[in-house]
Amino acid sequence: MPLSATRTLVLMPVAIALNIVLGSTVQQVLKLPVYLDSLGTILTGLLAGPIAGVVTGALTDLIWAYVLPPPLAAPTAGPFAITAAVIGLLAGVYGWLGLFRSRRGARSTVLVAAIGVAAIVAYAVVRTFAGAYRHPLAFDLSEVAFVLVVAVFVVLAAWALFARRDAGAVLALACGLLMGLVSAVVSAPIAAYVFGGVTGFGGDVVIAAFRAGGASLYQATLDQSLLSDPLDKMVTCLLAFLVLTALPRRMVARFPNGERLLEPA
Amino acid sequence: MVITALAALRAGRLRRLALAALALAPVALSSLVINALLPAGGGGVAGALAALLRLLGATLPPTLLFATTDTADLLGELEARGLGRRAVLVVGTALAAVPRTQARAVEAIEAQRARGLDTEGSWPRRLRGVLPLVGPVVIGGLAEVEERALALEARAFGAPGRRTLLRRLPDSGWQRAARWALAAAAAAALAARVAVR
Repeated sequence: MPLSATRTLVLMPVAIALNIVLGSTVQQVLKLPVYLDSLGTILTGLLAGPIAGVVTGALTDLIWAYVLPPPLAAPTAGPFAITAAVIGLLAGVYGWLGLFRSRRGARSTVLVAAIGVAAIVAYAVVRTFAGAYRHPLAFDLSEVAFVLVVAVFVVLAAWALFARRDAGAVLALACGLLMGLVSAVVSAPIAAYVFGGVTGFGGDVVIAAFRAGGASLYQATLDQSLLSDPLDKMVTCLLAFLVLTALPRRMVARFPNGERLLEPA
Repeated sequence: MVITALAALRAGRLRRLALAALALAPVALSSLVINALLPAGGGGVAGALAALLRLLGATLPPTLLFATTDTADLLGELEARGLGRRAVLVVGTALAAVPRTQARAVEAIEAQRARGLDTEGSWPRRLRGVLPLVGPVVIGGLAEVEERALALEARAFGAPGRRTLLRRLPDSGWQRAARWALAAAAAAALAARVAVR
């Protein structure tokens, strides 16, 4: 077995532990409305490819739900292994496409490309939200959700462009937004049909609010995850991007996908 | 569920199982409140109880398995029966890495608090704390990957061929028969479910 394959094998368990610890301990300390439990999955997908990402994501939720002893265990995480696997797959594709490469120094072509991508993503978001929020009663609530997601995207993108001067971070944010939409669409049916929309987190209240507004169970869980997942995945993808730029080049380059994540020197 | 509870009682692990069931309490409470209060489309109290029972049924048996079985034993035996050593490595190392990563996270949290990080203030302030907390934990973990990969290679992890296990677990005829019977019962239950539908 080549050394890079061994490295991938060692990365996966470390990433699983990171997912679980960031998703429980650190999340509890910060008390923010983001889950943070997919940073390890996304990093593994980026560094080691889609298959490693899928395995890491799925194993995280299975171990979390069934193997760990109670203080850490999250009994409802099990079925969401499907969502985590999709996230890992998507991260692998992103890494393979080189979307998380740092792009410092604003060359005009890069900026144009970034704005073009942002426009495409914005179109996709508008289409998804317009498709999801058909029912008129929850309209104002859903509008608030939509505005919130877009506002966070704009704030983080502005920070990335003007404070860090790195167009790659905007691309990473856009990737996160897209990933959040996909993850919402995948996890909503799980939350609705396996758990009846109740998983014991703060999101339950939001789901109940949407349902009280007249939405069906499935519709309400979809509305809730279309609010929380894009926010969470945007923050997580930005973190993954920042971590990758903070790592020494030689460390990143040793992973199978490493060359695609590095700025050409 | 009843069988699971009885098996746990026999193995003296009822406490551990009860703890796992208790971990579902927030879900249960939330489910009861929401389903009972919601006027339209709510499943009512009966619906909430049914959902909870389903969840308990899915959660408790695996919890019992890992409460009564040493994970190292389980993984070793699975490897002896033909599970790839990569899978064994990933799951085994992940379980060992969780407490280590947890310790690192607690260290990072305390260090950053000592430097004046605000974890109680308004949420834009807490958002600023994400990077100082997450960064050291993640980068420390990734740095560990390199060391471990080299250590594994130095111990011929990539060598072809199967490893021999020093310690095999005792496996009586009764246990083997019980396993086959349980597998058959599971298949029968599944078939019955499909047939009733």
